[in-house]
Amino acid sequence: MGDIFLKLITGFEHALSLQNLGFCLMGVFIGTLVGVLPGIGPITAIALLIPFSFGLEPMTGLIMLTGVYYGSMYGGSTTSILIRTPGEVASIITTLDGYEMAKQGRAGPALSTAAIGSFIAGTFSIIGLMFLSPIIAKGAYYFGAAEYFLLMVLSLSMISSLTTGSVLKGYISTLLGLAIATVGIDPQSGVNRFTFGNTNLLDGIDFVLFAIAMFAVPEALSNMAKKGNEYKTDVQKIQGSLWMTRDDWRKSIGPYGRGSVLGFLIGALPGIGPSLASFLSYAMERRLSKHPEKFGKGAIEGVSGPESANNAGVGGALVPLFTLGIPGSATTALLLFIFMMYGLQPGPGMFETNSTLIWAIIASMYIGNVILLLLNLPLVGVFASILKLPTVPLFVGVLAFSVIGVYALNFNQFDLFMLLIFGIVGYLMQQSNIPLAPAVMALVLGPLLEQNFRRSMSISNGDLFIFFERPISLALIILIVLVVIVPNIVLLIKKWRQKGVPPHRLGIRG
Amino acid sequence: MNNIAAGSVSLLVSLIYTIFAFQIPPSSFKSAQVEPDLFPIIIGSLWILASLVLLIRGGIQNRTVTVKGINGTEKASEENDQEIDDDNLLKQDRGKLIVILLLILVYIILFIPLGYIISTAIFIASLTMYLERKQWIRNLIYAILFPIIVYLVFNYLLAVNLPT
Repeated sequence: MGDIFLKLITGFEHALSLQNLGFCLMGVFIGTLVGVLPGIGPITAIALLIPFSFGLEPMTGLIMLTGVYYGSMYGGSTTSILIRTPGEVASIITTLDGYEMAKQGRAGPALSTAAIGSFIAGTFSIIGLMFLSPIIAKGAYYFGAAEYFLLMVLSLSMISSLTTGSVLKGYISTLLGLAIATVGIDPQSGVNRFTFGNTNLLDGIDFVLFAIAMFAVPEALSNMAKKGNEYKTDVQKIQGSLWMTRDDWRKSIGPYGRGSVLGFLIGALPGIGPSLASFLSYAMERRLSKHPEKFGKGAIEGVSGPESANNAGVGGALVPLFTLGIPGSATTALLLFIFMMYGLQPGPGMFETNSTLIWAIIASMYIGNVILLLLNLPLVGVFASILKLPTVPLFVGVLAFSVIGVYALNFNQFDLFMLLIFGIVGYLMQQSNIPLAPAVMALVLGPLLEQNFRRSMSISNGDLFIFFERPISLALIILIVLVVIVPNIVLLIKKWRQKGVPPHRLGIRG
Repeated sequence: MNNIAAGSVSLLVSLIYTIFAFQIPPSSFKSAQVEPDLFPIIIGSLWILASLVLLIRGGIQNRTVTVKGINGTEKASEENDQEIDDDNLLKQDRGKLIVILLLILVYIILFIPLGYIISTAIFIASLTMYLERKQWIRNLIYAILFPIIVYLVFNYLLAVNLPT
C-alpha cells in the first residue's frame, strides 16, 4: 500500500515538471476542443497528433495523448447539451436529457453537472486504476500465450457484438481489420503476404494511416457531401446561472457515485470502452429513478450519470492496456500503438521495467482532471463558441491535416493513395452502418493474435487442446462463447416477444 | 448503401482476399507449426460467410419491405436496423462526393511535384470555393494562411521537412 503512494509521489515529481505540465495542459485542452467538435473525436485527434509527438520524450508524448483521450470525454457533453449532436460517441446518450434541459433554459446546470460528474468519476477511476492495475499485472504473470490469444479473441468478439445495431456488421468490420493486418511480410516465416510485388506493402498497412482513413476522412466526406447548401447548426444559448441548485446537487450525487463505479468496471472489460458505460448508466438511472417518466424530458440524472460513467470508463479502459497490453477500445488501441512506437511494450512487465513512466502518466491524469474542471466550468462558454465554427473550413482543414499527418509518417506518396482508398472504404462502411472501430482495433490485435496463436502451438506441439487445459483459458473460452451467442439469443427473444413495440436502439461505438 | 449492396461488395472483396490467401507459399522452416497461410484462410472464410449472411438478410429485408409496401402494414421488423440508423446519417449528394474525391486525388498527385504550400493552397481554395462560393474572401485567406502556418510549424518547430 505504502509502496503505491511512494511511486505515485515519484510520478507527481515527473508529471509536475514544467515540460510535462505544459504538454498535459495542451493535451487536455485539445481533448476538450475535439470533444466539443462533432465529427472529430479522440481517435482522429490522437492519430493526427502522432506526427507532432515523434520528437517528444515518450513520457511527455504519452502524457499529452492520454490527456487528449480523457479531455475529449469532458468536451463531448457540451455539444450534446447545446446542439443535440454528440461531440463524440460516448456522449450520445447525453443528448436525450441534456438538450431538453438546455431547451428549458437550464443549459448552465446541465453543463455544470456534466463537468463535475466527469471530474468526480475521472478521479475515482484513476484511484481504481492505481490500485487494481498492480494486482492484475501480478496475476497476468500466470498468463501464457494461449490465455493471451483467447483474451484477444474475447476483446474482438466483444467489440464486434456490442457496436452499432447489427452484430453481423460488427464482425464484418473486425474481419476486414484482421485481413488488412495480414498484409506484408509474415514476421515468423518471412513469407510475403498480399504484397503483390509492391515494396511499399512489405511493412503492411500503417496503423495510424488506417485510423485516420477510418475516422477522419469518412466524417469529413459525409459532412461536406451532404445534400443542400446549408452548413449551419443551431446552438442553444447558455442562459441564466451556470450553477446547480441544491436540488440539482441532491439529484446528482447518486448518479455520480453509481456512474463512477459502473463506468470503471465496464471500461476495464476488454473490448468495451466508455461509450457502452454511459449507455448502461443511463438505463440504470432510469430504472432506479422514482419518476422514470421525466427521463428524456430534461432529468438531470440523465446527464450526471452517463457523463460520470464515460469518464470513469477511460480510467477503466486503461487497466487492460497497462497491465495486459490489450486495448479495450479503438482509442486505447491507438494508445497501445503509440507505446510501441516509442519502443515500449505495455503488459505485466511494464509496472516493473517502466514503473516511473506509468506512474508519471497516472499522476498526470490527476493533474489533468483538475485542469479540466478548472477549464470547463468557467470557460464552457468559450468552448461552446467554437461550435459556431463553419463546417466547410473545419472539415477541409481536417482533410488537409489528414494528408500531412499521413505523409509525415513515412514521407511517402504511396501512403497518401492508401489514405484515399481506405478513406473511401471507410466512407462506404459508414454509409452502410458498418461500425468502423472494430476494424481499427482488429488491425492492432491481428499480428498479436497470430503471434500468440503460433507461440501456443509451438508450446503444445500443434495440439489445440492447450486452449482448454488450464482453468483461466477454459473460463475465457466459455466467456467467448457467451459473448458470441448471448446477443443472438437476446435478439431472438426480443423478436419472439415483439408486439409492435418500436425497436429502441442507439448507435454505440467504442 | 443497403444491406444487399454492402453484402455484395463485402462478398466480392472477401472472395478475392481468400483466393490470394490460398496462394501464399508455405514457410521454409520445416518446424513451423502454423503455416503463414492459415490465418488468412480462416479470416477469409469467416469473412465470406459473414458477407453471405448479410447479403441474404438484405434480400429478406427487401422482400418484407416490398410486401409491407403492398399490404400497408406499419412497423419494421426488429432485425431491420436499416431504417432506424438511416436517420443518423446525413443525406448524401453523390455528385458533390465525386467532385470532392477528385479534388483530393489531384491534391495528393500534386503534393510532391508542386510542394506542400502551393498544392495545399490550391486544394483548400478549390474545395472551399466549390462548396461555399459566397464566402470567397474567407476561403482565400484560409487557403493562404493554413498551408503557410502548418509549413512553418512542421519545418521549424517539429523539424519535419515537407516537400517544397
